[in-house]
Amino acid sequence: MALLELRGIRAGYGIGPDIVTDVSLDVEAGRTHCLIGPNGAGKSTLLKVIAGLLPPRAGTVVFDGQPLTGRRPDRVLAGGVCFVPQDRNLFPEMTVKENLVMGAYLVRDRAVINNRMERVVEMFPILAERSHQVAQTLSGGEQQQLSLARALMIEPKVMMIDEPSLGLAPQVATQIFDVIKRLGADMGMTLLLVEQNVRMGLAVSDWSFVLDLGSKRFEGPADAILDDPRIRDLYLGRLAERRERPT
Amino acid sequence: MTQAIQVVILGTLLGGVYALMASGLTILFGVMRVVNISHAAFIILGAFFTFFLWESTGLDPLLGMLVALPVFFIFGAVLYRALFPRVEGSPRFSEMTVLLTFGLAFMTEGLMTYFFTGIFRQTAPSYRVEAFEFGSFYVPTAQFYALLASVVLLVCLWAFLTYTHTGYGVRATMQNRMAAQIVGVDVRRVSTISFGIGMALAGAAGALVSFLFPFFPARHWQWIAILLSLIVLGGLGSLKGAVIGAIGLAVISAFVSRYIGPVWSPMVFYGALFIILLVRPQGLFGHQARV
Repeated sequence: MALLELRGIRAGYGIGPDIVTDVSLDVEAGRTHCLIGPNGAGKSTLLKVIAGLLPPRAGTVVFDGQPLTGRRPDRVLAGGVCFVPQDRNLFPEMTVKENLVMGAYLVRDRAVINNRMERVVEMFPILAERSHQVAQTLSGGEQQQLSLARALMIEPKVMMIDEPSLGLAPQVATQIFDVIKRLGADMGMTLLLVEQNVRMGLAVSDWSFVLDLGSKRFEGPADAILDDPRIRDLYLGRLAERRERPT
Repeated sequence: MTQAIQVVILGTLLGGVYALMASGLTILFGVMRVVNISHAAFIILGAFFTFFLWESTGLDPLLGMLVALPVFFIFGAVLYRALFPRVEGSPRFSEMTVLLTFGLAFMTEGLMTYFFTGIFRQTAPSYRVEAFEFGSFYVPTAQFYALLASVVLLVCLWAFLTYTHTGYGVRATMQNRMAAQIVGVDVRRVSTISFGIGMALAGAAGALVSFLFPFFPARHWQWIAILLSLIVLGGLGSLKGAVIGAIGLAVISAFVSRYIGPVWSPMVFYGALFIILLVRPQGLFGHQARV
C-alpha cells in the first residue's frame, strides 16, 4: 500500500469549473515524485486538495491508511503531510527565527523546537546569519530556503513543494534543487514536487506523473519520461525541441 | 503656551479612548479582512450594558467594564460562528461582509432604539464631574481613568499577541492567512477568538463611553465614521498605526476645536482621511496590498 493514495479526485474553486477532473495516484514512501504538465493542468490545485486547503468535490485522499479527505489543514499537517506553496508564503513582518518557530506551531515543547531549529539551520547556514532579519527583507533565494526550512520544522513524513524554482535566478534555483535532492536521496524523505522547469524537477525525482487538463495522462520513472514519445508529442514538444537545438 | 499644552493633554486623554475603540476594528480587519461597520453600534451596546448595570446595581462603570469584557467576548464569538461561516467561501467575501456588518449595525441600532428608546443616557459616577490639577494644568478625572483603562487593555492585548501561543497564531493570520494555515494555525478558531476580542474591546470602550459622553442608539454612525478614518490613517490591520493615528488625530482635533471652533473638529478626521488616501493610501504603518 502506498503512503499517500489519491482516488478519483475532482476539485475546483468556488462556483467555477472543475480544475482537476479525475486524478488517482500513489505516492510511495521514500521516493521523490514530480508532477509535470502544462499550465492549468491542475498540479497546484491537486496539492491544495491534499493539504486540506481545498475540499475536493469528489474522491478520497488516504495517508498512511487514514482518510485525510475533508480534514482541516492543521489536522493534515499534524498527520505529517506538509505543503510548501509556490509564492513562499512567509510571515513578512516576523524575523527568520520567528518564521521558523511558527513552522513548529503545532509543537508546544520549546526544547524540541530549539533542537529542530538547530538542525534545520545547519542545512541552511544563510538562515543562521539572517536569523534576526525580517522575512520581507530577504532575497528570493533566501525566502525559498526559509520556506523549505519552516516546513521542515514540523518534521513531516511527506513534503509537497510547489514550484520551488519560481522567480529565482538559475544559479539560485540550482542551489534549491541541491537541497531538495538531499532531502529526498540522502535523508529518504517522501517528496511530491511540482515544477515548471521540467528537466530540473525530473533530475532530482525517482517517479513522475504527467497531468493535463485536470487528469493524469501517464506516469513512469523520472529518468525515462522525457524520452517517452507520448510525453514529447503531447506535453513537452516545444521543450524537448529546445533542448535539442544547439545553443 | 500653557493653553496649548492643556489642549495636548485633553487631546491625548481622548485619543487613548479612540485608540481602544479603533484597536478592535483593526484586529478584525487584520485577521479576517472584515471591515466591521457594526463595531460602533456594539460600542453603544456596551455603553447601554454598563448603563443598565450601573442603574440597577450601582456598579461603577469601570467595574462594569470588567463584566462587559467576558460577556461581549462570548457574544462576539457566538455571533461570528452564527453568521460568518456562511459567507466565508464566497468569492465576494469582502463585499458580503461589508453588507453583513452594515446590516448588523442597522439591526443593533433598531433593537436598541426599540428596547432602550432614543433618549440620551449617561452613567454618572462621582468622578465624572471631577478634575485634578497640577501646576497650571487640569485633568478631568473621568477622562484620566478612561485613558488609564484603555492603556491597560491595550497593553494586555499587546502582551496576548506577543507572548501567547494563540497570539502568535493571530499575528501570523494577520500577516499571511494562507501561510498561517500551512503551518497549522486553525484560522477558523483564530477568527472566532479575534471576533470575540474585537467585540470585547467594543464592550469595554462602550463602558468608558457611558460616562464620557451622553449616548443614544443612533450615535454609532458618527463614531464609526471617525473610527474608520483612524484605522485607514494608521494602516488597515496595524495595531500600532491605529493607536498612533488615534492619539495624533485626537490631539489635532482638540486644537481645531479650541482655536477654530468645535464645529470644525470632526473635519480633522475626514480631512486626514482624504489626505492619507491621496498621499499614502496604505496608511502610516500599512503595507501595499499583496495580490
